[in-house]
Amino acid sequence: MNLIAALPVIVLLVSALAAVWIMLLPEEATRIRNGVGVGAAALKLVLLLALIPWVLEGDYPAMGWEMLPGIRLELRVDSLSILFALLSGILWLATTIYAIGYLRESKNRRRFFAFFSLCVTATVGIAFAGNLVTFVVFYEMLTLVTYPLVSHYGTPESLKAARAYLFYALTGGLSVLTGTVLLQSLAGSTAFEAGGTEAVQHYAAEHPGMSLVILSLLVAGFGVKAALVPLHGWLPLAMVAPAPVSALLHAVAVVKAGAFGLVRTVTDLFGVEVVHGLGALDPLLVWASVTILYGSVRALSQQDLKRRLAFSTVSQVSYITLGLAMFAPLATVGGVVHLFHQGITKIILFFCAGLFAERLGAKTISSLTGLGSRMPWTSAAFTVGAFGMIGLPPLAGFISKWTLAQGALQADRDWVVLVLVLSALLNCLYFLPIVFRLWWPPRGWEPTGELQPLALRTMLLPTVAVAVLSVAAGAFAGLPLSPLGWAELITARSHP
Amino acid sequence: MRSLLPAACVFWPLLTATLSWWLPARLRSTVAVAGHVVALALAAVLAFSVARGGVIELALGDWDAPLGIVVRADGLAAVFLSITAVVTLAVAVHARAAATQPPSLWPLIALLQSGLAAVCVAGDLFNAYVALEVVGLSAVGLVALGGAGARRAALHYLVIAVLGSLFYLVAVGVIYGATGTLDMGLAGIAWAEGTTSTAWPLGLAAVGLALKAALFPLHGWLPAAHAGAPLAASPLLSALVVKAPLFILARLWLEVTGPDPAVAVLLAVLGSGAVLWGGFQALIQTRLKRVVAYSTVAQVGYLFLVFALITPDQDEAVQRLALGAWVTLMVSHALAKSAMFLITSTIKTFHGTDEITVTAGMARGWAPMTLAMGLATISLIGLPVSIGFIGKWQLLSAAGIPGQWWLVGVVLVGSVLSAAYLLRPLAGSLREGSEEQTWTPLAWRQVVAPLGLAVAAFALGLSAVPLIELALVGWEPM
Repeated sequence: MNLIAALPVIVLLVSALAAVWIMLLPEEATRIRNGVGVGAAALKLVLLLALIPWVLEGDYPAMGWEMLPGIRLELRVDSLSILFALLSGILWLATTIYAIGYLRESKNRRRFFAFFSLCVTATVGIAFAGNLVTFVVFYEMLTLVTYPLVSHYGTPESLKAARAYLFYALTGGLSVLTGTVLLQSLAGSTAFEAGGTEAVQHYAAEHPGMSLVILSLLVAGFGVKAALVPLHGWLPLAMVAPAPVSALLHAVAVVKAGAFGLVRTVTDLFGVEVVHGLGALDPLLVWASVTILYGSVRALSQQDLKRRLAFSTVSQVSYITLGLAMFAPLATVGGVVHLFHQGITKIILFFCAGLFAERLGAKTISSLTGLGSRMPWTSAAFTVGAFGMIGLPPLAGFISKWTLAQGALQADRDWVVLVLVLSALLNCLYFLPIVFRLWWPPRGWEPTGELQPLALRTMLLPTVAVAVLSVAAGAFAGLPLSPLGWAELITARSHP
Repeated sequence: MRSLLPAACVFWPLLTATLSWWLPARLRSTVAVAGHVVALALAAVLAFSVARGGVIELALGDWDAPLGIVVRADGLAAVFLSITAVVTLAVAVHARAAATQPPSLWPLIALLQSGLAAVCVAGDLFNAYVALEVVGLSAVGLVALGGAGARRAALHYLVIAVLGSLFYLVAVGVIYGATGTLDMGLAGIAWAEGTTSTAWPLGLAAVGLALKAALFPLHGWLPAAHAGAPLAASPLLSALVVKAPLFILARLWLEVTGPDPAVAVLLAVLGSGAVLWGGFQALIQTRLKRVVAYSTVAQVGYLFLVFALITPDQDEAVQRLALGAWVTLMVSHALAKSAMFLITSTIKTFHGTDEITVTAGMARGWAPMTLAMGLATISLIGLPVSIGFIGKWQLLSAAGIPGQWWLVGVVLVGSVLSAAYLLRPLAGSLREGSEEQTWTPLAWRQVVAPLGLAVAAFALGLSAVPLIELALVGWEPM
């Protein structure tokens, strides 16, 4: 058997087996568990990097087997898969290290780290899905394995939020499942092909009405996880989870999985032209724009830091959908690269939020006053993250927004540029005050509260590392293998 | 040699039952479990044989039909026999590991297994009746073992069972009158050529069998029977006993009288009602065993409404999907439901109550049991990669292709309901705090049965294709 073809399965198995191993270790075996967690994350990253040369050539490693008569579960690593999988791989390593520090005194760590590993297995499975059926399988798996993470603390409040999350996610999943079953049964294939699947496009040409229904089911279902308004309700509630979980959910796993589903459906299943032909592209554009503005406006009124970041995520993830929904290659590039950039930028902010909360109990905006002098590294990282969200050059966030704006002009949708500008302004309005507070406390302010000592290196190291990465991704965007370069490669391959 | 297998699957449990009746009480459980292991081996050999060599037929005493009695094992029989053997063994193992059981439990379980095997391989309409009676009576006996509290429910169940069989018997009489034979195959041929309306005998049989299978609105006896039944009886009742009448209905539908449009509509309506009503009832229950019992009512609804899709006016592809859905949903329910009942019974025995809130802290104290509960829940809701998901997929496909949107709607609403009522106890198990119970760790032999069943339900989804191909051996589209 070809080793390269087996690599997708091996990558999945690395974290799945890590999860099983962790579950079998006793609760007290902290050092071994940490070793297994970090080791598996590192190994996974190495394997993912090893896949790049083949994907660059266009030689996509693939493997599958028959799940139902005539329907295959297919794992296939194409250029879009690598982008999402690498995002997951890098950020999983960072979050594992962070979580080891953050949760060092928590109960049920064995359960946490086991499901953490399963979470990344599901995410990479989504990245590697070669058809919609496989996507659905891992998408539902993701819902199930993130549930114990959201409800980790076991308080009534956590359970309530987790139940709401589950309800939203399962209903969305059901919508996606129905769309998938219908598409598979009626069109005959749900395989992802760059630019659109022939069988699906053929079906859409002959049955536009039914295709629109299926498309709507898929978009609505993915929209729940991608937090399109008004399906976003679960996201602010899920902030009761520990900071590593909020970081993972918002930057990597759940929200991005929804957005990734939208990307796959629009570009690799139906194809942008067909979606446009069905009349669904412009409504999707408007929907994304409304979400962008709504998220930012709600963020303004939040006093709890994590909730403000949650609404910011609602807004920011819709940039991906915005890019998809414009009929222009540059816009698609912008949307796809933002998948990566938003991930690495947002996670910094959540890491910092966790650090502020753990060291000082600082959970609200007002309690962050003057922390620039008391927690300089954390505050610096937060500043980098905030500027990235606003979109200041040379950070990664700037690159994606600039590309999206150019794409909007290319697609003759000038009003979208206005949306982008407005959103950037709103971002300033809710991020800059925090930055000012951190570094320039008002005169006469006295520091209060004890700074708790903590495992500084394990929590600060990944935070600073990812901040540096977000600067590099923006500064070196011109390089061929940068995230931007990769997004350009993906788009080029879908518009041959 | 291979033609003896179907008969062996019926007579071996009978032998086990006889042995465990004669032996002194302290030897019974061991002999019974050993007997069930052999029964599982026989079922496995039969399944392999059918998969390789096709339908197995045996004319008892070498007397061919219509004078003699034919015993037949096709794909459906092979699958159902295997599931029966697996679940029975698991229940027996669990009962043995739990507290000391009443001595009459073991012969009754073995007798039940014999009756179920007879239902599977019966090639004769009257044989099927006898088999149904054996199943019914042993099930009543098992329920009655629950003590004084269960006696009333058991008596109620007895009346229901006999009434249902009576309806079926009248239907058999009509068929005999019209065709002159009791052999299923020959009666089917004669019926197709005859002019008698299918609606009456099929409708009568369907009502009787629906009564025995607890189809809405004739389901009232089931939750009551479950409430009083002892640890070993509930899983067998929900997982296997209510499936036997469904099996006979399938035989009539597919081979004997064939489908009828009016009965199809009736089953579709009642099946949908069961899914929605059972789901709603399960949602408002406060006790675990009742939640699981109403869940059975809902799941049985799916198994009945699938028949509406196996009609001559549907494509072969749709019929194949519908039958595949029926089989996989049966398998999923048998494995996952028996696991759930074993778990809830263990919880009840341990804490003395089965209020839903009792699960607090279970995720930490009884991690393997919680895992089992989680996997069983996944299969019952129909989430990937369980066999329940495969069933749900096929059902949605079978409904979507001919555009039966009412069925798609019912399946979706049913899924949401099942998620809602099954996740409550599971969510409660993650709760930490003062309401936590103490959970002394269980010995492995008390966990292995439910865990094994739940893992099987979850993992079988990965090898669904061989299962479906086996089930369709000997089937021909209409």
